[in-house]
Amino acid sequence: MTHHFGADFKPIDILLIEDNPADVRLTLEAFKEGKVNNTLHVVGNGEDAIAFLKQEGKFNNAPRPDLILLDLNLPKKDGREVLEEIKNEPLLKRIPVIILTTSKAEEDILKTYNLHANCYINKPVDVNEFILIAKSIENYWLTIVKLPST
Amino acid sequence: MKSNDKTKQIIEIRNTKINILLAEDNQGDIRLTQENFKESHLETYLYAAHDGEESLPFLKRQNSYRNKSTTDLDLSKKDSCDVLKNIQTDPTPMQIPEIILTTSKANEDISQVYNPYANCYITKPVGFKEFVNAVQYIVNFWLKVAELNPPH
Repeated sequence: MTHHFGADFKPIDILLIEDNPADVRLTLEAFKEGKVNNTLHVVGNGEDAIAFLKQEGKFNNAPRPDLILLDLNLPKKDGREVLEEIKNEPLLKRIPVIILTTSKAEEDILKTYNLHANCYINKPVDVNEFILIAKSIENYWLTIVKLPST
Repeated sequence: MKSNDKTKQIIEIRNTKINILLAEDNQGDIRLTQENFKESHLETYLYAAHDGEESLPFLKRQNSYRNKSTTDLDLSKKDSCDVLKNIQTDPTPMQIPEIILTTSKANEDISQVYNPYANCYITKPVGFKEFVNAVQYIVNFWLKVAELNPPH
C-alpha cells in the first residue's frame, strides 16, 4: 500500500511499519495535512519491513526511505528485531527510526534507545491526541531536523 | 518521620527533573537556549559546557552518579563528534538522546553525525526569531512528545 501526496519536486519518503489499520489511517491523515510534501509507504509486519528496506521480492522497486516510523509489537518479526537489523546494517543505519508504540514499559524505552532508536514516542489511545502527536512528528522531523541524504 | 518524608520528596523531585547538557561555545546562543527552556515551565536543568572537552568530565561524573542524576538530553555542536563517539562507546547502561545543533548545512557533516548514532541533526538558523523558534520546537518535541529514558 503506497500513498502519494502533494506535488512538490522531491517528496520525502517515509516508511510506516504498523499492523493496526486504524493507526495507519490516522497517521496518513495527519501526514497528508503536513507542510512538507511526503510519500508514506506502509508495511504491516516486520518481515515486509526488512524486505522493503533491502528492496527484496515484491519490494524490489521500493525507494530508500528518509525516515522510518516503527511500531514495536508486530507480527512475523518483532519491532525490536527490525530496529536492531536496521541499526546494524551499514547501508541503513543512518535512517532515523522513530518508535511509535502503545508500550509505556521503561525497559522498552531503555532497550530501544540502546539499540540506537532516534526517538521513542508513546502512541496515545485518544484519536485527537494521536493526530496531534503525528503532526508534531511531521513538524519536527520534516521541517526542523535535517535528514541524512539518501 | 516528617523529615524522612521530606528527604524522599526531594529525591523524587530530583529524579523527575530532566537534565540537559548544552555543549555550545556561543554565549548568546547559550543564553537564548536557557531562556527558552525556562519559559517552557518544565522541570529541567540545563548545564552549559563551552566545548566537547568540557562536557566529557560532566558526562563521566553523571555516569558515576547515575543513581542520583542523569543526562537526559544532549544538545551539541557538530565538532563534538568525538564527544559523541566517547559517549556511545562508554559501556554505560543507557544511551542519551543527542541533538546536534549547528550552523553547518554541509551534507557530509549531516551524514557523519548520523553515522555515530546522533539522534537528530538541526541546522541552527541565523536569524534571532528563527533560532528561538527552533529551540522551542526542540523543547516541545523532546520534552512533551518524546519519551526520554526513565529516571534512575
